[in-house]
Amino acid sequence: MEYVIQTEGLTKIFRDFWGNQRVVAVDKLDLEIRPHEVYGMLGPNGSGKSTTIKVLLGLLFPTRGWAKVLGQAPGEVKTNARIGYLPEESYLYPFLNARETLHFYGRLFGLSTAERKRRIDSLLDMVGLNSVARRPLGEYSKGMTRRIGLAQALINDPDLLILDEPTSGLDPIGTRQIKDLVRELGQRGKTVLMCSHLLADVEDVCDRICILYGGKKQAEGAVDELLVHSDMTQIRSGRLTDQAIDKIKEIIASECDDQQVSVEVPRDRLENYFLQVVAQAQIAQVETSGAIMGTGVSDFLSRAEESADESTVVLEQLVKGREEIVSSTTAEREDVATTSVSDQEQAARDDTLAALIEVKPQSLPSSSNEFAPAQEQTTVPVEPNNLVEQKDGGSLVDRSVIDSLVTDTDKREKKPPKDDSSTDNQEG
Amino acid sequence: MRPVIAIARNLIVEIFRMRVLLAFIILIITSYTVFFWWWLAGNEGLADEKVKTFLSYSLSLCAHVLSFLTIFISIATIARDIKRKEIFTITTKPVSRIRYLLGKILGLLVLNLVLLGLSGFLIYGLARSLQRTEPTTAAERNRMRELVFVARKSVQPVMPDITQQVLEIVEARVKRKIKEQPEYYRHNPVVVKQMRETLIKDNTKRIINAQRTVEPGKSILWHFTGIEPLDREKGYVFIRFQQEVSGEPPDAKVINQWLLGPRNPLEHGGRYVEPQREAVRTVHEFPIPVTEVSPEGDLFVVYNNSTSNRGTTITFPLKTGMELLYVVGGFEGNFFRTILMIYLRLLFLSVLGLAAGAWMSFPVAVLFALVIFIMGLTSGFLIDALRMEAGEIQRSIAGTVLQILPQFSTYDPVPHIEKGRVVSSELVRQCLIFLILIKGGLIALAGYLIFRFRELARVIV
Repeated sequence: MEYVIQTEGLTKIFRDFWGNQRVVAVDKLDLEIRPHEVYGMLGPNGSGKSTTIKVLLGLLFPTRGWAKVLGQAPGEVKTNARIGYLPEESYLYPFLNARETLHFYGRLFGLSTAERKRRIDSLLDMVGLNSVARRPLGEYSKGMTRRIGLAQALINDPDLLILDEPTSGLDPIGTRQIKDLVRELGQRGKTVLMCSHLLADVEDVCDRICILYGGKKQAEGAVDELLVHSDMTQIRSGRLTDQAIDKIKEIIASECDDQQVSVEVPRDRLENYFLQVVAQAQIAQVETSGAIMGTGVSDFLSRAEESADESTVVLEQLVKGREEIVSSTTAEREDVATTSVSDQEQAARDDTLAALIEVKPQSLPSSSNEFAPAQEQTTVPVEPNNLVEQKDGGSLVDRSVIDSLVTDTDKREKKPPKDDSSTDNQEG
Repeated sequence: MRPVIAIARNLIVEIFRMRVLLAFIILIITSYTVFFWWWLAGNEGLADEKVKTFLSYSLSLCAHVLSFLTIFISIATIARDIKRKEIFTITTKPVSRIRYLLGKILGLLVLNLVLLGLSGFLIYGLARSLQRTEPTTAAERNRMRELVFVARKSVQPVMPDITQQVLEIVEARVKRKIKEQPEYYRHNPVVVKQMRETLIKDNTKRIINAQRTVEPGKSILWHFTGIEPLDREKGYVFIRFQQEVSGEPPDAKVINQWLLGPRNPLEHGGRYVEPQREAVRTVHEFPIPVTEVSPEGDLFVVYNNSTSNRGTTITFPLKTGMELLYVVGGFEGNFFRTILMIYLRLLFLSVLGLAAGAWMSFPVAVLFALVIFIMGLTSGFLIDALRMEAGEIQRSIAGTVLQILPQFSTYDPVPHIEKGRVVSSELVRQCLIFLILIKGGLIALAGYLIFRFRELARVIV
């Protein structure tokens, strides 16, 4: 199957009671979403994102054009068995509690009782609702219902996940979890269609995006391609002395117009700081009646079987590495909660916190070091010249500038030069 | 099948959590036991009449309350799923729309089974309790056993075919009229047609009345056939009658004299029944030993209008005036079939409610379903009125519409069991075929097609 989702000339016109055309919600939309892709659909309110999703799910019928999902017409029962859908609001039964809700949706997929229980336990842990799983959803906050909505979308271990405004109404923890999950699922070979008007969310997780306006596709492409400033270069490093900065400026000035050189001390993002504080509170077992930070992605969410190409193998290895971190992290967290804290344990606890927060994939260049511990960094934009692309698909680096810096630093501080991998780690 | 069961189960959980079941049980217990028990205790009258009233009241109340409940729940469950968009997360799972509807119907069936079952047990228990506590004499106990806790079949007397007689009279009258104004009637054939219809109607009524009317000092012979009592050796068959009179007799009572036998008593002699002075316009019943029925199932009954009635002409109205009842089964089977027929009605209403809720908003769907339901309840009266009063065109149009409607009055078992009459398997079968399979099936098909091809979401831009 070449495309998981494909539309051609998809048009949806809303007519009034008398059949008069009132609104063209989607206008001749062509979409081609490949397997294992995390695809973002962006657009302002009323741009046709949700309408497109509803057509893809068979909840609306196209006025013109056609759509195929997993090779079938939208709404086919067999196709639906492979889809997970999180609507723009979690439309769930308020009289059921979280566990009953997941049992209900599990039954719709024909899952056996044992399998349902296993998946539900895992999903409730994942979305951090295990402690409130017996409360009716009618008593949940909006963010908590979004979490259980997400869990129901994953109960069938879907091949295609369709998320409509997934982070709407979620607190920063939930937002981060959803983004982590989408990234993780993408790395496991799932196809994700994510629709949002929150640009940062889409930017953080999507491989490709399209931007809709007035029901029409205005732009489409890989996030890297659309967002890269190909006429600038950004260099990051550890703390530098003023002299070193001056020398760098001199070197850059010799290469390009020094008016464009800026040196800044970066700061951490509020999101990271917030998550750090909450994680500490959770480790300290502060009581809460709300949701807590969930565990890692549920084990039952399988990898796509078709992924045999090289890129997928690399992704598999990356995910495997992360799973090891997550599993060791969980074990360490339990230790922290049950024993007195020594220095070594304190160090392990710090690692735990970092691991709980750190999940940024290697392939995303934008704000790529946002998960690193807060430290001073030097940012030096330069003119594009002699640029080389990093292996990890990250930002373009001026080789000559790096060489100069390394040579100069060696001479001054007698320290070994940083290799590529250390750079990768810092960015990852 | 799992998704169907899951949806059904979810509906039942919803109803339980909404406390509907609790409210229903409290209402039923209150109305049956507290209110009616108290009313019965304070009411003086025949024990069997009390039990008849109890059965009629409680079963009708149960059937109507559950009917309304079914209409509301069946519409709410689907209309609310659509309005609150919970249906988005169901129909995007591997659940076809037909399975979604089947799940809802299954849920309603189980729910009604529970509610109706509970009510049925309660009503049966209370009725049997009344049977033990209310009669004060052996005669009352016998009456209760023979008139209430029994399943009796009814036969009407054989009446001569009057069609030819009516037509001859009508044609003679029409010819005479045309002869009086030949030009007028030649140019107005519709008037002739209407005149003929009116004459047929009037003369039919007149001749039937004449056949069922007894002048003072005269007798009338009734012939019942096809009587097949359960026990041909012992027990009774029952004559049930009601009388209209010309002129008001003293204290509105007349003396009734009966002679009966397996052959025409006027020719072969028969058994006299002790004359009784009984109120007119009231339904009366008296037993006849089953041995008076011939082995072929015939019974002849002669009624004599006594000269003591002082010139009062007595008429036995059509339908309720004269019938014979005989035992064909027990109360338990009859009660079960009664509950079954109520259950079939609830099944029909479930289908109607779901079909309406599948394409209308909740208030509109409720209005629609209630109109259908109430027209169905009164369909018998409407059809009779049309038959008696309306012209041919009105009759054909309105009659067709009424025939399409569910005829709940035709398939209402309560009047049968209340009078100790059998709710026959044939009636249950007809209810199943006409009400459920044909009419319910058509409504279900229409509802499914609309639901299958409608957009469940709305375009919001």
